[in-house]
Amino acid sequence: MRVEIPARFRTFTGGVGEVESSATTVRALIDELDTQFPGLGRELRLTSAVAVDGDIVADNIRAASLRRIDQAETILFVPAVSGG
Amino acid sequence: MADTNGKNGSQGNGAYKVLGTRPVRHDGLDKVTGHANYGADLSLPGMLHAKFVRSPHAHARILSIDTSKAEAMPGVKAVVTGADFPPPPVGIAESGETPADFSDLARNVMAQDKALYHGHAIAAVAATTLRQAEEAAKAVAVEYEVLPPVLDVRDAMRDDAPVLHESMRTKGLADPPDRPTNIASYSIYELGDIDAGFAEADVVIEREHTVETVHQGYIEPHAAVVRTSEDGQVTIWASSQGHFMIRELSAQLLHMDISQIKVLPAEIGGGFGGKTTVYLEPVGILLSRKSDRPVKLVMTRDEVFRASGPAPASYIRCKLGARKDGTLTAGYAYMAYEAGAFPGSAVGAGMMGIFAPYDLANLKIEGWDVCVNKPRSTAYRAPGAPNATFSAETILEEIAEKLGIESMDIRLRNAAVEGITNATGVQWPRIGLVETLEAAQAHEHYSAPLGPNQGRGVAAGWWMNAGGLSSATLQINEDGTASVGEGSPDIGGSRAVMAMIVSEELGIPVDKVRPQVADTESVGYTGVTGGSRVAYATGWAVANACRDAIKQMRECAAKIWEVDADQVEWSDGKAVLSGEGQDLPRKELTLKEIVAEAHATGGMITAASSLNAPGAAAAFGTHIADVEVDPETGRVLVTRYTVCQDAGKALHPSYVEGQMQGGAVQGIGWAINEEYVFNDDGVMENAGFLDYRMPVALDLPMIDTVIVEVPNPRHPYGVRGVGEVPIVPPLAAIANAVYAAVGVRMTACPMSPPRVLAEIKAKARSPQAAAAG
Repeated sequence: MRVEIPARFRTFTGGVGEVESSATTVRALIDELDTQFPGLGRELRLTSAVAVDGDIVADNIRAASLRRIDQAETILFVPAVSGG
Repeated sequence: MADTNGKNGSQGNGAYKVLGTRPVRHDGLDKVTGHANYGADLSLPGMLHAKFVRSPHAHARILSIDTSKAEAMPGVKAVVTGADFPPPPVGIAESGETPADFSDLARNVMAQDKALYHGHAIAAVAATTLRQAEEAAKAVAVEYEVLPPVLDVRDAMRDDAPVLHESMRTKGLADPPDRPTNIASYSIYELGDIDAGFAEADVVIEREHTVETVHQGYIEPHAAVVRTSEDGQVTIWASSQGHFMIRELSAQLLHMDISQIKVLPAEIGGGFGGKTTVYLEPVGILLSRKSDRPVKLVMTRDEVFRASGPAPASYIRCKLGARKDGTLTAGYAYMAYEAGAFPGSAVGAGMMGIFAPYDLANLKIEGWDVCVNKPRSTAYRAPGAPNATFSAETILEEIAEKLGIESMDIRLRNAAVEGITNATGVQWPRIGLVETLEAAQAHEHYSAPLGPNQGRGVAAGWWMNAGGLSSATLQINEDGTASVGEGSPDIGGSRAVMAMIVSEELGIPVDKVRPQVADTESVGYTGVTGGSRVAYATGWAVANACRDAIKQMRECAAKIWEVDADQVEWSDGKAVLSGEGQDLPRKELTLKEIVAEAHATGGMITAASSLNAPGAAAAFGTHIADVEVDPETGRVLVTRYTVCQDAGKALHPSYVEGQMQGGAVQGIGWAINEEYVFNDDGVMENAGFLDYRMPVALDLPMIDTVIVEVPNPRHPYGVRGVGEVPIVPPLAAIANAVYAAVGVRMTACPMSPPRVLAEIKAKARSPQAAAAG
């Protein structure tokens, strides 16, 4: 599937804004990204929600970790928001 | 029955019997008669009183701390300093919108090597009486090396600024300079091509805006009572926005098992985001351990201002471009927010919010999180968004004026709708911005006549809202009444809402349901009351618990009637066997009749539910503000104010209206009066409600409200969070109204009389005024 790396995380990827992955779950994807770009996985787990095809499917990475990913989908990480 | 998984639509516009009504809150009588117990109300036998030693300097190295004299004083039982804390764990403490590194959190609770703001905790004393503790605190000798403070975000970003943290390097930059800095992080959002977007524009306006440091201003100061037992167990009574948060952070900071700590939630006298972290409880545990006595810790108002987290001051440079027809073509924002003494301002949420209401295909937003010598900033109602919206919505109004387009028309022309991609790259789901704009435009207020020196302004605002972890328990009592326990501290009337949900689902009167906020050992983990998430997420947990209980009761009835459970329906508070098509007589059993058979059917009816609520949809609001400006003094008086807001589904409309009014009033305070005033040494000079001027009833008109209901399709009842959006538009709405009244565009909040008067005088001195005169 296609994974979009937001601009704020591209310091981890050396400027790469998009990667391909064959991971089958969000958890596996995060692990794979962390292997490829050390530190990115931790940052995503701490700060991000998950959007699939432009639609937020979970408010944080943990909530989405077991979600299965279709290879036709596009994954995007957006800021996890809580509030006051 | 409403859909239980939230995936297949909702009954957001469904015909409810209880939801949408306005029953009296269950905790109301105790509160109006003074019987409710708040954080400072508890006293235990043998209880000690604590007093903090706080830094008299905004920036200083701590050279030594001598507690010996204090420890020898009458009544003193324990003294704690940073040396009593274990090394903090590695990781991030999740609390509200401003996550903190555990190391930072620990050093904010009690300073280690440096004092980073005036009022930073240096030590704490527990003594038999508060007076003894106060005297002993004065006797703690602290030797400081005083350092120059930095108090403004732009000053703190300079290369020659005093540095708070020698080890800090800017995160998020591709190639950060390898030297100490106050800039904790940089982040960016980009969509499209802003150069092309601005080139396409017929009008481009760029402005700089500042917002000062403001406090949540909750009436009840932070307070806790802590008792440790010989077996190491800890019991905490505390006023907070999350007793599970207190348990988790205290356990982490002190290397304890979570099961060693029980937290009982006291009533809370306001929080607004400011009580989503710990200040007192870990210190209380250490003092109680050392003294083997219960310890009460209560902040004074002065300490609340100086040492608990305010909302960040900010500097924003924003630029918008539009075609002649009003269509926005590009937006750029440079946003620098003060984090306070430790990283973690709400700049990220501000970045998400600055252009959120609009369809903007070309945008670039850069955000900087910057440390200054002020208390660590903490969440405050839609953290970061009021600052951002002040900037974008005032520039949009200026564009509208230049193009001769009416205020609401330019917003409707550009309004974000379902399917539009926002700054984060995500497409909006069904949202109700357009409906709030239309409601405001149609409101009688929008076209009402104005008097001399009066003006009207409008602004729209956004907040994302949160879901997250929530839990609830439900018991059906022997007499057919019900008790429901929620894990969320009740700040905005959530007990009444939880009881209403039980009433709606089970079909029993709302006054036959007793709601309570359960302690950490009586209900499952629940995140903080923040993010406008309680009615949404905890309400969903209650609904699920009810549906579980109904399933159990149908099974009980089926046993009694010797039929399959599938043949039993639940209707109007009764199990019903219709008998239709089954050659059986119609039968009914009430809750009371079902639980009366508990011995025969296998036990009482209890249910518990925990969930991580997904799908918390964004909410929008549009505000109309009328002001009257005194041209002699610059005083801005709000003469009329209307809030139109999408609530998805208002479960208890009175509490939704209360949130809309309260948020608007707080935003008006930001706009007109509120600010921390520091002297050159970094000492806050107005740390009390006499000098830190928050709006009171005499300052304001009645805040009118219009609840717009565009159901959130992912929630069982269509709910959207409502608590935070209303603080977002007032700064801009009032600035736009001031311009309409006296013709000056205010770019700094608060728009206090001296600032407004200076602008009025500057305008009078301007060449245009001279030419006209």
